[in-house]
Amino acid sequence: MRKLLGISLIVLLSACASQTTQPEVDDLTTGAGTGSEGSDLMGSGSGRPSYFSQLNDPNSILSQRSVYYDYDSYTVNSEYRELVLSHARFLRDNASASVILQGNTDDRGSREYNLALGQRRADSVRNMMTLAGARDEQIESVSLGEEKPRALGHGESAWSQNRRTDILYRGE
Amino acid sequence: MDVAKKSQLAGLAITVPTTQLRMAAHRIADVIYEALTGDVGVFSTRIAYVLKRGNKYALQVADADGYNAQSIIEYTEPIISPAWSPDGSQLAYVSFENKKPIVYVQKLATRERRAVASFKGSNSAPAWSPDGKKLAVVLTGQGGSQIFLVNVDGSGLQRLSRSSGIDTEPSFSPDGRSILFTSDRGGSPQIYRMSVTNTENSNAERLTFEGSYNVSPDFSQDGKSFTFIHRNNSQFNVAVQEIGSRQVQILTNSKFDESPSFAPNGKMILYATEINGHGILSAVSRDGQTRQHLSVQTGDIREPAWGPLPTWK
Repeated sequence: MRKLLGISLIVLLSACASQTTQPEVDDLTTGAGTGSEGSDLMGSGSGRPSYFSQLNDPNSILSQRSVYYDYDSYTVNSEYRELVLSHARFLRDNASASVILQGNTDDRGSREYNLALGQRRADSVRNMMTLAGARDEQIESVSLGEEKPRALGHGESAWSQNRRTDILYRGE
Repeated sequence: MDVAKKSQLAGLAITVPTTQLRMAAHRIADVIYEALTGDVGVFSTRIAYVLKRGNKYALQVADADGYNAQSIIEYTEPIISPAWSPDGSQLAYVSFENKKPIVYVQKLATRERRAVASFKGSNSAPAWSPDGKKLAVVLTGQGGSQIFLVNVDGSGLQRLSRSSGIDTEPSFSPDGRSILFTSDRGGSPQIYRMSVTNTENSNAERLTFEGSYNVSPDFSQDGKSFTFIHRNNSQFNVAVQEIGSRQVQILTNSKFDESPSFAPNGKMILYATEINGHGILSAVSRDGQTRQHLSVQTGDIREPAWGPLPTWK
């Protein structure tokens, strides 16, 4: 009886005419951009370093930039080891190159836990790279959690695309 | 009036300008509800949530029934984890506007805000201490995701959790002496409790043991139970566990529930769910018997947080 009364009161209120207030919007202008160290990456004069052509050569493993993961996992599967090690060796051999590793998750479950899981994914790639000769200063690992999915919707086909660490070279 | 007994249950006279008729109606509903049920009414409370429309994210505050929404801040980068200060005057939240997660605290009356946790790495999962003086936050700057305490002005950083796993989603007990949090230190994400006052010698105590995924704890205001998200096969549902008996009750049967938040009278739980691919807010009663979808703006709604009782109570 009490519950019914409580619910009927809620229903009554919902039926009240709602005041449409103009939403007050704060427009935030961003600060300066992401501060990429452009000067470090420039070659001795004329523009982008020559190694960018190597990084984007479709025949080179270096043009592949994404590591994919099993559900709830942040371990780099054996099928992606050579990809990660190739990029690590590239960083080792090109001291002026640097990367951002962005960890992502699929959209199931808690956003905060997924933010942390995305960080673990990026960090696990970072650890593999530094063990293979890349310097700590050349790598920044961040997490986007589930917030920036590449594939929308539910189902394993979308989810498996989003469980991913991307390797982005600064200056590209 | 109790019509059957022909006696007056409660009397209240309010004079309000017409712009506040809605609030007056809520106060009256609260008085009636309290007189009839003996429980504190929550019709005058507010909720916060994030609304996504296209590529825009807005942090909004609305009445508890979802009406009268106002945007507090809006940006083209994600906003997550809004958290009400205990007195309802401020909101903490996480914004990605600087391309990485940073914790802000914003005053609702003046809209002024400050960054409270903007350390190297990620800053997220703000939770207010009951005295309103500190926030628990999750930082990754010292290795993996770990829980820290910081003063509301951003000073006095102090580490709370110590594990090599993920520790996140802190939620303070009403007496401010302990926090619930999510941790995968045991191999899968589960809910733990640890002391805030005695961090040297205390270990974290695991509280959830059913299934392999229990996250997003929110302490009830009486400190006797907590609500959380429990994964059962492939479903994510709202659940409640009693601290003393460890008894668990699953309250929903939908597929993708998230972010459960107790009403300040402990009788309802607000959460985010999905219908036809759209994120919406829903409320379920503590005993799981009643469920109701909230009417809010069109778009994808997520990350709800139920505000505290208004100060006149």
